Amino acid sequence: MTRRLPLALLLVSLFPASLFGEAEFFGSLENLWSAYGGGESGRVEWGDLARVRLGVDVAGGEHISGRGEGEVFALFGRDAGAVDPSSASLFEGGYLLLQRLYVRGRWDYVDSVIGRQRVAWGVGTAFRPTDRWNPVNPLDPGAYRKGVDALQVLVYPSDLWEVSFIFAPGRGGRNVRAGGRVEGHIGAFDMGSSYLYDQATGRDMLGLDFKGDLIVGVHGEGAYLPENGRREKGFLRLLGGADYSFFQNLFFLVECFYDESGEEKPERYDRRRLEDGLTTWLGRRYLFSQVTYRVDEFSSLGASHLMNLSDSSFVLGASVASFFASNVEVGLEERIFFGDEGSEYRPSEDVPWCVTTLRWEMKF
Amino acid sequence: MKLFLSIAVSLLFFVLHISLAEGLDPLEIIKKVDSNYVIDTAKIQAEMIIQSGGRTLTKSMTILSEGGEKGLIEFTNPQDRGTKYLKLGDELWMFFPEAEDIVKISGHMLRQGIMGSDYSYEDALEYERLGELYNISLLGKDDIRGKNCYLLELTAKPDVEVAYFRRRMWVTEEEFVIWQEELYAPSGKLLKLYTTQKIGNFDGRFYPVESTMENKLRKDSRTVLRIDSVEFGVPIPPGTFSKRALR
Repeated sequence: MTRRLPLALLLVSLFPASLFGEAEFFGSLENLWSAYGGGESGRVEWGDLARVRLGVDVAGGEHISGRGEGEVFALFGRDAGAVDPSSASLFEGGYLLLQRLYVRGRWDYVDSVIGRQRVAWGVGTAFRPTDRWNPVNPLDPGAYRKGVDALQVLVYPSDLWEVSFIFAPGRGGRNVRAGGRVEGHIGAFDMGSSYLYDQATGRDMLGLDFKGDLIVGVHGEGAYLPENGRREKGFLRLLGGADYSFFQNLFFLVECFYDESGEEKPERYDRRRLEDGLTTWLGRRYLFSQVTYRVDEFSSLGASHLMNLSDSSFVLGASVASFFASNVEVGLEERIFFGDEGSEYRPSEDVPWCVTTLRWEMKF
Repeated sequence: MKLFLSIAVSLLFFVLHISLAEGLDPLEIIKKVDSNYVIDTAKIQAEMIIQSGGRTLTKSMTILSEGGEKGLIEFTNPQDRGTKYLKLGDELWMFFPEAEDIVKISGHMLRQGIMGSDYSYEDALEYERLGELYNISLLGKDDIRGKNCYLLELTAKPDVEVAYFRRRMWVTEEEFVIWQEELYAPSGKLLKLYTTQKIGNFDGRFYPVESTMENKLRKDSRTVLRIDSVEFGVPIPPGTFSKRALR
């Protein structure tokens, strides 16, 4: 029954919504076909992920609006790894994932949002130390991020300043997370500071971030999580990044990340935390770089490099993407994993070391 | 003798033409252009048609503008639905609907094309400050694509950072609309060519309703901007040009 609940909520939100106020529907069809090479069998294995995403924006007068958004997806062959089935409900041989379902109220200087929503803290691309809500996966920074079930109140004292308070009860009212954030604009910089209490870990987090211009674009984040009531040591996470565009079509980004709670030695990695989705990295020091070249108005080439500096394992990525119509995009991506056995990106000889993904998406 | 006469008449006409044009102050021409372009408030529905090598991408958008300093663009076509830009003075923010994230556009990224088009962010930001950024001179008059135009040359002022070192601008004599503009690099290389195809008359205010930007660094690459509807002087609620409005 509980597995069917999200489906019921989605149906309730999507279809009758159009009867009340203005409703605008949107969606997409997407398919990712992946080939995995160099695994245990030595053969090339394949996996496929097909999904349909549907959503609706509803405006019920001047003050109330809402969004419902969900997807049905099916996995074939080897798990394509592009979704997290643990958060999905099994549905007729496929899966259903409720991405967003929230109502927003707007008053003079205050918004309130209740329901499953995306909370975007921080400014990083591959790592976001202050984002404890929808953590970024450095292996797939552009992936669609899950929503958080929360109540958020946002206050807008001016056009570029925002103060937000958020309360997320967690499952069954346990694992409460609560916090706040102030963000604004000073000089040529966007600045933010945040605080979060996480009942599950018993930790507080104090965060700062900025993004702006010097000669190049610069951004940075810092998060400090002090010792908790369980006498677990406090630690610091830091991110620094820079970006620059050469000519009109070549974009370069680099980020360095340090996590004091990460491990320097591969034998001390706690891979269960990775598998359970409690973290998206294991090591202490990382370097991420990305180059994007826009070939023309329709096509782009990309290359990326993600390195765990603690164990020297790394991932090289290359991609090409092109529009075949105003709403149809096709992309091909190759990722190759390097490292000693036991390292983060090459945990064992049995794991595939190269993944080729062909993706197409049509939005409507 | 006949040839000599013909050359003499042409030269005389040319000199007369220049002197007539020189009687006008180039800043006065730019002011008259501004009286068409600089608006208190406006709501515009437009389509951006990006063409390259026989392929076409179409993007639709709603633009709200106040005094040229403030702007909010929301894309409405399926691919970019919900993507928004906020312009406040010289600064830009972008809202990515899938990530529900607001990102400040860095200074260097302003050179890139808006949503993959041939219009760069700088093109959108620089226009209101032409008088501040460039020395403007009137070269004369020119008949181009069926319109009598003033030909202006704009050269970047020393120590000023601009998107284009030199601009050659054809302004229609009748409507004071930019009919054509060539945008050059310091090396003298032509980077972009802007042309207006259709001018609309909105209660005495003339405004380009169809224009094209060609990127001369790419073969066969152009973006057509077509305005479907425009309302000038619309009331815009307070708080429209804010980060809140991006969400």
